[in-house]
Amino acid sequence: MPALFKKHTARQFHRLLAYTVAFLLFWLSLSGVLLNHTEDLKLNDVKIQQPWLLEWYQINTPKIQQAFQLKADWVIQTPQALYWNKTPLPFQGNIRALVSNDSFLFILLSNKLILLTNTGDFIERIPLPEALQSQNVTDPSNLDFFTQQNHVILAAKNSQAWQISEDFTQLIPIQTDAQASWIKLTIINSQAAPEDIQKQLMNSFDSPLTLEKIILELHNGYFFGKVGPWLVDLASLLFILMVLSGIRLHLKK
Amino acid sequence: MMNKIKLSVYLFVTTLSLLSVESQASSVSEEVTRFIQNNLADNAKRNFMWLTGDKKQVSSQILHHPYYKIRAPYWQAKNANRSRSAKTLWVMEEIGKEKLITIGVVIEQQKIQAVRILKFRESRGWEVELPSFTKQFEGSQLDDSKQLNQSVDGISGATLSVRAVTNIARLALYLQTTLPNP
Repeated sequence: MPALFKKHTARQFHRLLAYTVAFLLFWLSLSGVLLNHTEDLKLNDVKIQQPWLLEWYQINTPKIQQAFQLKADWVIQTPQALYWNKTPLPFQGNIRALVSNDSFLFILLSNKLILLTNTGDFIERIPLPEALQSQNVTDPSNLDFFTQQNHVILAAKNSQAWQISEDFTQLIPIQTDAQASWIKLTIINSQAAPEDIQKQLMNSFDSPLTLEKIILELHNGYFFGKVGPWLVDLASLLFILMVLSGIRLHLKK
Repeated sequence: MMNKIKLSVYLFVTTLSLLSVESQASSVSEEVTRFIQNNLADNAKRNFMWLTGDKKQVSSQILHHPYYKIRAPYWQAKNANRSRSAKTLWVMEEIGKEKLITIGVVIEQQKIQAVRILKFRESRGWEVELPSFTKQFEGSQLDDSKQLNQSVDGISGATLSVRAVTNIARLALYLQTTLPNP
């Protein structure tokens, strides 16, 4: 008689299998029950925000690239979006320069100038003239912002200058003869954002990852990648073997 | 004046996708120019309606979120009396599903005279561009609950685009009522 079919060996084998698959069986049963009631439990509404889980699923989270402080408010640049504090702004790009006056905020991107109110409301997107779009000119070190009688002026180091039109819709070329009367606006530099800003961004991040997806993928094994389903298959096989060894013990009683 | 503007924070968190949208540049596009020429005199003048205070609140109720800009452009003939009953052309943008739809609305005597889709950027729901759809808005007015007084038939597969166009039509009618009435 093969050793496996001896009662003593079968009992040891059965016990070993039981210890091995007990946790898996418990988890598969529990997750199965949860998934059966996913709508009642609103598992799909529970958004996962944990950075390591989002990273595991290769979901890009808001990571601060540049942060500009304006009194109590912040303009934040991430690879995906620009934010006014934690609120996404309806445009994106790399901030080359940021300037504010009493009423407005001017954000210079590579091909447009964005106008916001000083409370963060989007006013207009002004396309940059071709001469301003080149990398060298829009480099903050080659460009200055001035104000003159409530007009805002962009002046390049190459003596070209443009004034924002009164209706904030275009940049109009102007002569630089009167430059002496222009008042220079201070360009706000990027600085390290406080931790709570990063936390605020994460809290407002609309995560596409839900608790239902995590439970489902832990249930079917896909959480662990391609090898996951094979692990679940192996667990199922061990469970079948445990049932068979249990039958063997029962028959020999 | 701008210092007095009380503005609440945008609630666009659920529409992060909007961030990838590049709407028309602020200079007037060819489609808009043609629409203005077809509906107003060549010398139409552009003005801006600032959506602050009550206007911001009501427009948020109509769209179910604040309009994405703090001002909306409108055109009137230069020689018009510039009252709320004068013929006015509004060009506004609203997200259908993922991208902005540029919508032109012509209003005269508080009634919609024409609705046109000036730029459709979505991959689905283009049927809202068809004249058979936009004609339904002609003659519509705003009732007391700020709804259109004429029903607009939905389009299967274009529900969100239909909703966007309808809401912009309602918003344009509402903003028209806020124009000065000398």
